[in-house]
Amino acid sequence: MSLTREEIEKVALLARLRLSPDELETMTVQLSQIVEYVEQLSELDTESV
Amino acid sequence: MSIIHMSATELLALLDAAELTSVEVVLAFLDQIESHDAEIKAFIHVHTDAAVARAEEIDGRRAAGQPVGKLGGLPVAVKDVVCIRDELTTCASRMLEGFRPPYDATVVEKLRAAGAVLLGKTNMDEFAMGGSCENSAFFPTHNPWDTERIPGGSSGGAAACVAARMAPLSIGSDTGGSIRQPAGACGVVGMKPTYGRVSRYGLVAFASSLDQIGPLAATVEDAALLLEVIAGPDPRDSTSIDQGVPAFSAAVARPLEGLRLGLVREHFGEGLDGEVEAAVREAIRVYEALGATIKDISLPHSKYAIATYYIIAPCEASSNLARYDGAHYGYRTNLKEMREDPGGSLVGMYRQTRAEGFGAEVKRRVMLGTYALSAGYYDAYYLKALKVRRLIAQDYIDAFKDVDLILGPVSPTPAFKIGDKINDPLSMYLVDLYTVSANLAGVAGISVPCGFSSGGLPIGLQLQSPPLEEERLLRAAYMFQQATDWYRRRPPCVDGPN
Repeated sequence: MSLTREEIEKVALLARLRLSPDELETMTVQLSQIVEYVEQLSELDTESV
Repeated sequence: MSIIHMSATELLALLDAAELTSVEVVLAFLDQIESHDAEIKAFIHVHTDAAVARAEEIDGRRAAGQPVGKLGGLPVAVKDVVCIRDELTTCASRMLEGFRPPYDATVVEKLRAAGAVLLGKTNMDEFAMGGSCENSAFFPTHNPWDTERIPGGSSGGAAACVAARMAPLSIGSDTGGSIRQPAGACGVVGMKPTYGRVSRYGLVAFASSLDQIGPLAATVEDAALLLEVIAGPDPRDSTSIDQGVPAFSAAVARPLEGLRLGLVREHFGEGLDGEVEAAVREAIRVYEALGATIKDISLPHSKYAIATYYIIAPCEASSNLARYDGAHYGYRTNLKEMREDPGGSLVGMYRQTRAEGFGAEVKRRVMLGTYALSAGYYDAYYLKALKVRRLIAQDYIDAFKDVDLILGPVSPTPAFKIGDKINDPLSMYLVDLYTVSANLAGVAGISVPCGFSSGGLPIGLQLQSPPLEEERLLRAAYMFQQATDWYRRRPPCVDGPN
């Protein structure tokens, strides 16, 4: 799932971080990749956990 | 054999027999630091004067027949994530650049009570986030076996200083493999105890449900001795386990009969370097010759371990690192005009301080954790990860019904070159694939040297035990060590017989 630049900006505010335009760019790409990777957990049935 | 080539156990025997003084020992290691650390850069701070003074004090006590403790006079290096009172403790971050804690961590108190000589603070990935020591805000540490390569991380300095014989013992921390992986990369012994075995009081928190302090050393018996000193319940750490510390150093040399070792079939698949696999398979043969039986086992949720870890750890980190705000600790931004923020000047001060104080990896993980904990995403990410963590822990419980210990590689490849993965965070995270599960499940794990790549780089063998079975782990590791001689080899930069 790709994160939008807007979402990244919102998260940066929550995280109390100020990101430069370059950092925002890179962060959007990298976090999208990582979030896409961790989303595989949704494959698992954890109803009974 | 010169002082720096001896094990801690050997040095202790000579110290006790008055054939060496602690001052001689400490000076020998300080000398080694002096001559090699410009190249290796394992240390952020070296406590030269304090170490010599302490050594003199211990020598005085010994000469007067007073007790000197289990580590009496031995130098110990400490990862810069552990608080030593009034000494710079930076976590390799600009955020804590001038920070001097007002207290000693429990492990430091225990080291002092045991007569250890604190040598200095070792380099690490910033706030323990990383697997290469490249994320230090100050400088990267270099692998003593090939200085163009990483020493591993985040306890890279602690592993490198032992490998390069700049200290016989060091203290590291392991949240997702940060002791075991650098130990493997540097050809030394490194252990993550059971979660709760060693107090985290005074350990700067990264991920509180995963962090553990542990020993690094050149030999298994040395690691056992150091673990014995630092372990134990602590009322100041409510997650520490209320159990006495077994006499690890006395037990370590007793072999185990009928040892049942499990090989995790999911760990021998894609991504595992051929030479690493060959070294591990050779280690299996060594164990079989020692009378162990090998069983093929499964940890079915293995493939989800990295995803689980890289949700939980960043989430906990985002919470733990919230305290670094320019108000509680030393660093605060000076850029007055940058404090202006739609959220107000206080928010602006926080944001700018953290922008300047934190490095890229820390920011990445704080952002990831904040995202995964935020409203609307908490259930899908953090809560889900907690549930999968439970499944991973259950995999271990099931596996340990049939085997005594789990055996396998500690890293998928030997040490890579500095710079290779720095622009690809996800590929860097995947380096942890064999180590994160132990932290998620709370079990103990150790890395011991088991061979070298054709390029002369160390390969580490990992053993994992059920919770609180460190004695079993150490005894099994010792059996392997005594049947091989990988641990005797030294990096080319270290002078002396090989």
